Amino acid sequence: MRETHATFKLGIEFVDWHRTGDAYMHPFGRYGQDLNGVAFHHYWLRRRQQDDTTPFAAYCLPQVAAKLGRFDYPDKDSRSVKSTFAYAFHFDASLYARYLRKYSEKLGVRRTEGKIVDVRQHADTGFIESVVLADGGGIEGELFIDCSGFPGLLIEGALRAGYEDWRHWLPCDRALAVSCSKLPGLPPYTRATARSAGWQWRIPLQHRTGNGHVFSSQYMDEDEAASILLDNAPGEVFAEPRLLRFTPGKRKTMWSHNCIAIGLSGGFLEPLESTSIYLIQAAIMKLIEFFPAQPFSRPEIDEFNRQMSTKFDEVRDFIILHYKATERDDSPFWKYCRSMPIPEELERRMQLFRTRGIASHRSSELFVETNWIAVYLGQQVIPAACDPRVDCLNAATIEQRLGDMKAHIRKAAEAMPTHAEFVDRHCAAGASG
Amino acid sequence: MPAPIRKVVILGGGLAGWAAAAGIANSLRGADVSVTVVDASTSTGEPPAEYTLPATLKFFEYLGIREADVVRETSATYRLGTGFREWPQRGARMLRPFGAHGVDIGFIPFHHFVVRARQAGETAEFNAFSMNAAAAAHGRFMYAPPEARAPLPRLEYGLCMDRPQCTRLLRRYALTAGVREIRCAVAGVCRRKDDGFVESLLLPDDNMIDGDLFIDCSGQQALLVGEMLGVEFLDWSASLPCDRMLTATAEADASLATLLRCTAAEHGWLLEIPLQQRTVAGMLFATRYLSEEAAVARLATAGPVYTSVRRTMTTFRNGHRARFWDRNCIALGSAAGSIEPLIFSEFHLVQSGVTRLMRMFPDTACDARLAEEYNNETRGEFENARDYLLINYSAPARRDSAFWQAAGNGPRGASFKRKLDVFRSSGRLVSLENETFPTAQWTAAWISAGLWPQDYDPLLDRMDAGHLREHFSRMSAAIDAAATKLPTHDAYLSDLLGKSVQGEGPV
Repeated sequence: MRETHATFKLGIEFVDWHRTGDAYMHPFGRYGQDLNGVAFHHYWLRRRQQDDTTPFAAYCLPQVAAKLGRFDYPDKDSRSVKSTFAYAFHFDASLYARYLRKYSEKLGVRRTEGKIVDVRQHADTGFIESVVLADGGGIEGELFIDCSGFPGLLIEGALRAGYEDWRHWLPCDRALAVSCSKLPGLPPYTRATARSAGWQWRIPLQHRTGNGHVFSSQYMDEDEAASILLDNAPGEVFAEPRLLRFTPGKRKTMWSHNCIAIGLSGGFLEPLESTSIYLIQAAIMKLIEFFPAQPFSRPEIDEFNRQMSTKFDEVRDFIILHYKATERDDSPFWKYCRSMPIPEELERRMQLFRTRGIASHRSSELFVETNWIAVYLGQQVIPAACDPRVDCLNAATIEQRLGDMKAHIRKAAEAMPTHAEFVDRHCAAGASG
Repeated sequence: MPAPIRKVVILGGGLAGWAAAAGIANSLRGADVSVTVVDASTSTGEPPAEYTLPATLKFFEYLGIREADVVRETSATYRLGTGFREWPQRGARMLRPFGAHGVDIGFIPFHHFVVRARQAGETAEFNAFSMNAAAAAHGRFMYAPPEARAPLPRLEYGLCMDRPQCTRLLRRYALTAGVREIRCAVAGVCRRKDDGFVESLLLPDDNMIDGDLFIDCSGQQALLVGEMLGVEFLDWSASLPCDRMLTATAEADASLATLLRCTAAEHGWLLEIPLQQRTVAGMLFATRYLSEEAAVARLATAGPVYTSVRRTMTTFRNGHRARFWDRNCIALGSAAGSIEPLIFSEFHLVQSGVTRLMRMFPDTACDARLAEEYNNETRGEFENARDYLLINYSAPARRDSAFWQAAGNGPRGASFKRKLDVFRSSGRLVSLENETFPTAQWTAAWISAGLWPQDYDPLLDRMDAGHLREHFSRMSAAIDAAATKLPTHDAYLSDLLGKSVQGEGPV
């Protein structure tokens, strides 16, 4: 936290996604309490049918705390309402990279600076034997991890693994990033505000605020995107925006021969749900799980590729949901998104939720029931019917139980220190460890 | 908005029917929904014993029936795993316990350590690192061993139960929860013209029983989903040829304490299922290779001392309906499909189906998307369980009779091959959806079948072998010592049963 000037994150607030003027949060925590083995959101839906207008958000501790600008560590005791949430970090990515470099070098990792100009492959097998640097030096290896970014110097440049382009589902392909001064009050959450051809992020750090505008080059040019970004920067801007170009998609084969693509060389999904580092870490852990020995064995490589490929698809579908479940028709971009065809599996899941409030997901998936429900309801994907078992409790009991939960959550949130106080006390940058 | 379901009609009053009735009535307590069981006496031919997996017992917890009461009322014994004999080869004995072996080393699953030790020529007994195996070897059991603290794992257990008693327990529970019972055969059904939904069951006296949702627990014939709605049966007998289970009662056998015993025979398996005071012995076989008459003769000389001449012949066919949920009918139990009762019996999939149905409980429209989700999950569950059973028939398992050759050479799907190839080459497990067995159970199954991985995790090489060996030998000694301190299964059971119904005990 100290070394990366980090702050805590309780969720992501989505502004103007479903409709201009709407906002909801995807928090890192559960909503309410299940009653009689029936998931909480069904009770909320029943109350809503009976004209109770209490927002879903009022039943989620991290969300209430986030909007109050408060933070505290969760409680391990499962009986405590403070056990119902988790948290993440906002950090400075370049400081984090520096931190990891220091960590790795301490473990004996050797860093060689140089530009790769050639890749030597085995004549028969195509396995990579060495990379040749611009200064003429060569680096041999048995296993190569390609972290060369979008170009995929090894996985694509040498091994031609192929890339699956997802622009028809995720039209954004550019990002402009810029820093501005720190936010007053240090909100413990990310904000993602929809714009006319994309969206803008706001990430509070201890010393500054990260901002970026993700947009589709098909619907907006760079100048307009830059002026939207700068006009909406919530503080004093320090430098010119930096432009990033990307193609959303995934490498068709992430492990090919003796090369594994991790990071942007493996695929790219916009940072709407902060999944880039997750996908990197997932690939690292999968690699450790399937760490090869000589000779490489086909079944494990296939299994690694199958699992990683599924992970990308799962995250992709969750992100597409944000674009698809919208009523916005105020720009060609949003008109396209609301009417675009989506992957079959996502279509099936959305319909299942619309039918009876069932949030289907795979057991190994990053985003589980509570994540899907937060985004479904936040984007007004409202089930036609709720679980009939909610009627096992009479209306007055449900009303009372929900009222109690709400009050309890409010009280717990108000008892937390402010996020700024908490960071100061525990992990302020520059303070000694 | 479609009307809510007010009338649930369950066709069939066997174990599946009453488990469904109990589960549904419990879930819908207080809601304005009636549950009716039409018992057409389909329970004849049901086998006399049930043997569960650890996960099965959650159903009783869900119903709020205390485990001690289940044990008492179903003459149950605790089950720590499966003891195999004459398998994978003649003369072999192999124990496959529930629960995990050892503890993982960092991110490396424990069994890689054993593979490395074996490759180094050491004698590493996989089961020496299983708390369940140690307790079973000594015939000991305790719900929660007092010394079960890390790294000693708790015991994982299922139950062996008297099936009619289990059915009666669930029936009593369901009737108390307000379920109506009609003892009558069914003459036919009335279906809605436009969409084929079942509207009512016709009784022989021309009375009708109306319903919004029908649960088909009519057994193998699947009267509603199969005969009336015409849903096809997907037959697996080419890869799993067993189609009969012949059972009889034998004397109690102390050597069976805490285990289901499966002895591989020329034409199938001899099962010995320990209950309190007696054993149920069963011959699981394929009529293609052994006639029913011959099976009767073989069972009579199979070994156990029989106390009754009364035998039950249960007929089944491995496989399942193409759809378990069709229109407003849901098939449970053998109406949904059968998986030969080798490692676990029918109740496991029944309770899993009831739990799934409650999660997706529909309204009167019975939206096809709910049914599709239910069907996909259930099919996945059946196929994973089938793959798990196929391990018992796959090389290097015996091939010394026509039955074993046919079972061994039967078709294997892509999912089984993938699981096998990945485990065989490197001891890794593929990730699965709708899985009945935890990964530890898959590992135990591959290894007990003699399907050792060819290689272990190369990351293990950076760890000091001597240090690990010492660590794990301490662990196996601690496991063994802890196991011998547990009460014997007999002593534990009589202590448990001696307590009053309201007394202490596991809940």
